[in-house]
Amino acid sequence: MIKKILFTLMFPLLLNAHTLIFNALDNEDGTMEIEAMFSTGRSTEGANFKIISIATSQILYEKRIPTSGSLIVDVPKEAYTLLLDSGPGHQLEKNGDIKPKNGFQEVVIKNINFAFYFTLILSILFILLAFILQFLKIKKN
Amino acid sequence: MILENKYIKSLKISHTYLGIFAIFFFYISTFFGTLTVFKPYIATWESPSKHFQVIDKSKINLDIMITKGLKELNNPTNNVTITYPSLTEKALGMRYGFSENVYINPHTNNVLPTNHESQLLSNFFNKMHYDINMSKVGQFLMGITSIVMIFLTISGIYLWLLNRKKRAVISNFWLRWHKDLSLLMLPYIIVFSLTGAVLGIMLSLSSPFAYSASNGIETNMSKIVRPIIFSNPVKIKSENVKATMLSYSRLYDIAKINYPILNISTISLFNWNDKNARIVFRGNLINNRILTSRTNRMNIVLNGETGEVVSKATLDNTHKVSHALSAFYFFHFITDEGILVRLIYLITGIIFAIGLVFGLFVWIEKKIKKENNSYFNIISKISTAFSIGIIPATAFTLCLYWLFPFNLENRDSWIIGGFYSMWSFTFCYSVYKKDSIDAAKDFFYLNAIFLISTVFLHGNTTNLFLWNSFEQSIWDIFYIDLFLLILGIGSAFFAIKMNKIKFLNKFKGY
Repeated sequence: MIKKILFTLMFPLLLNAHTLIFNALDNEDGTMEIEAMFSTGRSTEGANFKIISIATSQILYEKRIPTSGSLIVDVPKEAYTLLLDSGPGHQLEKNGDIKPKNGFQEVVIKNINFAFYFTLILSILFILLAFILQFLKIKKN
Repeated sequence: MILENKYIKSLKISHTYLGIFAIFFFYISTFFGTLTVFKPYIATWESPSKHFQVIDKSKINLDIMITKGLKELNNPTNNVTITYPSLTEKALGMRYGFSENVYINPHTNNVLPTNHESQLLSNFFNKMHYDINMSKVGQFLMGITSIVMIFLTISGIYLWLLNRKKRAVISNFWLRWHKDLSLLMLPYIIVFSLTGAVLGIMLSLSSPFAYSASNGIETNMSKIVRPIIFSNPVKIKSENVKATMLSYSRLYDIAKINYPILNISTISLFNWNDKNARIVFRGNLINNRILTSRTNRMNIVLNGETGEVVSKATLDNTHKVSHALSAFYFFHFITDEGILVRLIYLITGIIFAIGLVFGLFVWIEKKIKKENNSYFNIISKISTAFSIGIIPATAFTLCLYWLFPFNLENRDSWIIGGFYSMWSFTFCYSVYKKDSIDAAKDFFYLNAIFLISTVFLHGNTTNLFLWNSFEQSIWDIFYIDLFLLILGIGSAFFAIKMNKIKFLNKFKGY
């Protein structure tokens, strides 16, 4: 009976409790192997795999994960992140730590999310201003 | 007797302070949850490519659409999922494994250009609902809040019964309404606090249970239970022998004849063009939507070559626990329900949110009367920004969505950041204004401006103004625009009349 109750209580966990796993293995010949799967062992076949430049946000490589669950791709010449996208709530991003033999080329960084910083600073300013106004009110009273 | 008094006093204190903690999170969750009830409609409204009429099911040409979709997906033959057009998703969706969806217009049978359409608004509202846009930390916080809500419900009922026993008359205006509204909303509160607790807390903390149940082998609960509950109805391997398939529409008709009460929502293809091809039609039962919601879909499996029925899942051969889980999810997500049930959820959500705010006012009023200091004044300002300021901030988000071009760099950050900036502005403005009721009045004006602008910006961007969607009978888009317009005008009207509403004078001085 207790087992049944426990089992019933655990059921709702099923929908979301699987996470993406993916690894990049250096083949040491200028290529790397990307392996992707869910933690449940299910294949991520069809999921979109991207290599994105850290400096420019450009997509350097994009392909769907095949049935085998692995891809062999060239190691990018500039600093990059790996992104596995298998639908809403199932995205995984990793910094690419496999470097080409001669290291990464230097690329001018253009990837500053101005919108994020601008709205963040604006929000903080409004909150600070609110507390200053309240402080002034207290002082006045 | 003294001990009993102490116990009741402690209970009242716990109810008050835990309530204050829970109100802020649960209010946000309720506000955005109420918007999320309309997620499918918002998702359509924010995708210009899906601004077309809902198609009559008899006019759907499955054969052309699926063939086009498969071509777009590079002709995969296994693990293809097709989402059948419905009231809430008007296009036919197709994906292969975990690929992104390809959408096909059922009127023209053409692939829809959804490149820049990310369903930002509906996903953002949903995220605010379940994790206040704070990922796992937010989800955990929401779970804790839901547990606190369960305690608040039980303690609230107990205190109410105690008052009834003593025949005590509640004279405090806020307390009386907080009690009445909360009691009225009791079934709603129970459903959402229980489901919220399970989804928020149990999802994050399942590993020890999995570890214990598997004798220390596995920490992932899903890995243990998923294969049992969501077992794939098609496990058969391909024979590697080419075969000619029956047409999709013919197979659809066979499925309907053999399972007439199945309301088909998805179709899956396995081993297609092979001797062992299988097509699975999944959906809910027309006569039992509660027990066949998204976690317990019924299905019928056909042989793709011959149309022969391979298997058929019915309610009788699914586990009772699956039924319970299905009902559990049904009341939270109402996935298959139409607009009527969603409108009921909207009204109950609004009443519940008002009940929550009134609970907070009981405490603020008591504290201001007792201590009369500025500390409680700022709490009332924060409450104003939380409860009323969030309304124009959300309307501003809708406005920005249609104001910014779809190809703008970092468009999502501008829109979401805009929401937070406007929300923090409302806090600043509440503090600036001496009386919160005056601030609230201006917020309703702002809300009106944003909502009315949204309707026109939407029309301008999509070339589908209110009158166009009416003429072209695109009812879902028309009603959303009309609703926003009425809400905007109503908001302005409410702001104009605010000072004359006697009831609102209760807010004066906060």
